[in-house]
Amino acid sequence: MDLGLEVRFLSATRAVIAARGRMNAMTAPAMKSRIKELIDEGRTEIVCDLREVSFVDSSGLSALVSGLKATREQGGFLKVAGANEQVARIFKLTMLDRVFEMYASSDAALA
Amino acid sequence: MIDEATHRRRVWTFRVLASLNLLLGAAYLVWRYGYSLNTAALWFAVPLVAAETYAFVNTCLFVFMLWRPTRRESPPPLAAGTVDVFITTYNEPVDLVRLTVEAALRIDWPGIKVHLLDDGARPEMRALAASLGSGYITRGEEWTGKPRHAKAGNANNALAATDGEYILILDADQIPDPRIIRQTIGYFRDPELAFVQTPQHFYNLPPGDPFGNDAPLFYGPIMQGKDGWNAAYFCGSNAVLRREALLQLGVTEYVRETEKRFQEAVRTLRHDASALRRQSRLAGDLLRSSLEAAHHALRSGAPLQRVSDIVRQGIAAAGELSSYEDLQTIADTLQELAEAGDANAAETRRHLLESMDGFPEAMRRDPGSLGLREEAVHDLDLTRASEAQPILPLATISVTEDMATAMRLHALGWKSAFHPEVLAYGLAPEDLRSALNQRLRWAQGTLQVLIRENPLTKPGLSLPQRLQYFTTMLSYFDGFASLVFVLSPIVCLFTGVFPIRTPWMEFLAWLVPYLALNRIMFLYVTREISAWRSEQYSLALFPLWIRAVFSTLVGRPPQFVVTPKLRQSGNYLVLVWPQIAVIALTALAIGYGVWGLAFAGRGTVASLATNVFWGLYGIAMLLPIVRAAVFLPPPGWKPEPPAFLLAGAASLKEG
Repeated sequence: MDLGLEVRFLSATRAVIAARGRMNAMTAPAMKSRIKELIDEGRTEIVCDLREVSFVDSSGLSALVSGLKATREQGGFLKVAGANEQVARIFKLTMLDRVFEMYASSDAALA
Repeated sequence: MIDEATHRRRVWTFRVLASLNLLLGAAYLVWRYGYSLNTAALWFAVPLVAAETYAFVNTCLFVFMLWRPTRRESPPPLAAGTVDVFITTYNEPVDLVRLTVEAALRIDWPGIKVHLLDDGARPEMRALAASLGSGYITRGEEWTGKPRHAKAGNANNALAATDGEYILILDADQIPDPRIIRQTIGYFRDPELAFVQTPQHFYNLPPGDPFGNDAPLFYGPIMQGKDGWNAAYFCGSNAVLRREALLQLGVTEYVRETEKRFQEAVRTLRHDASALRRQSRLAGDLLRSSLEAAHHALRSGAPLQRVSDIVRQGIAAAGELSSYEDLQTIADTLQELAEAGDANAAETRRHLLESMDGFPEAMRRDPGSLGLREEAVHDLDLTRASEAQPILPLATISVTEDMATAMRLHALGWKSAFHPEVLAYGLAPEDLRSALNQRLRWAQGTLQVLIRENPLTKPGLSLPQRLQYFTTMLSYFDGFASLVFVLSPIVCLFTGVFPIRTPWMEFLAWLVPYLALNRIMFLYVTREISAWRSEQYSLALFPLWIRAVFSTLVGRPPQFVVTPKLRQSGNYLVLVWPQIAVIALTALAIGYGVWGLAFAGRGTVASLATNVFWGLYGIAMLLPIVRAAVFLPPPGWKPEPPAFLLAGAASLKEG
């Protein structure tokens, strides 16, 4: 049930958040507050690595969208990487794949 | 069997003795509290007077229990009635179980079916049942991974697999008399009677009953007294029960238990709904209001199924609503992004709002993510998924399932009977460790029932019934009073401090008549039996009673342990070290007191004599258990069941 969050700092402005598990109302708030912390530290270029995420629901999407807005306001970006089939389908269904830049992997997102 | 007139005369003799005893006791206590407390040594005076008060309360309850004992005679047997015999076994040896099954098959009753309930699922037991022609029942698949509830679970499992109107329950070692059904089944002519209990009798007691297993006081005056108040206990074996009563109990308990879990689940979920409200106000409010409705529906007696539906719909709706809220948040955020110049965001927003009608199922909130505790949600379904059987007729709340079952049956208004004739012959533990373990288990089990279902408040019981159960439970607190009593002479003799402030002769003038009459009353009650060993053990086991109280009231719940019936070898002095210590200290104290009076002029003859007598009495009570720790049966001693019970006896008679 828990969402494991692992943050890799790449530079003073850049970080990758790798999540693991289900992103739902129980776990999304942790993701949201982690993104906010990064932005407060000045890391506004963020990649959310969802390779290990099995499921995203509406509250998970909401957390990502608010993260996107927060980075944009600081002139940064929030990219999504490694979404599995189910997760990618939701992004497509909601057309959020047109709002987020989506990549196969975090390396690709930062290339 | 005594005649009615003799019975009446005996009951009245007891009542007169008992009333005088209680009067003297009350007067003694008034004098103790009002005129004799040594206020200069309250640390000593208060525990002693408290112990004396406790003893007096026990005497009052004892007198009440024996106030109107029954005088039962076997009613003529019923014309017909199907009987299932349950022989419960777990790990007993085949030869022992064989005796019981063979004897059960010889019970004189048409329409009897014998079942071996093997909780050990041993191939040799299955073979035994097959060779003797008895039924064989073990637990099925449904018990895998579920609580097994020991002996009660074993019998419940068999109840579901059989259909006789009456059930005779026998422990693996209890060899039944062929007349056991004929002598007891007539009681069921009373349609409100749930069970008949017969005594436990042991054929393997070594000479002198070193371990105090024989219980003639309990399976005699005490049970007859309780029976008089319609509160005879079910003691787990050697009893015949009415299936209908057990099933009614099972269903009633199921409903009660389910309702209780339901109420708890609703309470838990209301708590969770408040937490949900902090992350999603609308969803939290919606869930809260559906739980509110469920709560009121429960209280007004709506069917549980309906209440369950209300809550489930509430949970589903809250999940959906919170998804819409998420969607709204996403749309708002996208709006802001669009205003900042993101054209895609504007388009996605429009798309999302349009799709609100047919909400994308795939993005609906994870049902497990409302923060509701899973066990609570599970308890809303009515399947009792945590148990192998939804209906559990024999109580499983305690390691002494028998007492709890009897109490619940009495609370439902069923009657019971104690038939005082020995109709089964069994084995008692043959070494001190096993005997002590059995006592500890009974004590813990009884105290567990007190905690889980207090007889003083349990609905449905009559006041005398409440007092009968309470008397038994209270008796397990004896250990504290006994400790005070055995330590008192030691403290007096060593310190010269006395708990009373009057001259010793005055103390004796109050105490001796009270104690003497108490003794006379007790001897009158036990005139036909030997209760001395039981008395010694009830005092000498004070460390065990104290341990039982602490382990049950503050510790971990005890587990059911099958008492070994065959002698375990060993020397058990280590088990009785507190008793040995008290004996040694008392002996030292007596020596010190005698020396003090003779050579140092300390104390008086009266105080010394009183304390020495008191100390010696204590030693006499404690010595048997110490002797039992090193007891070895006489060489060549081999207990045999009474010959008339054994295979061949019947054929010999016929021949």
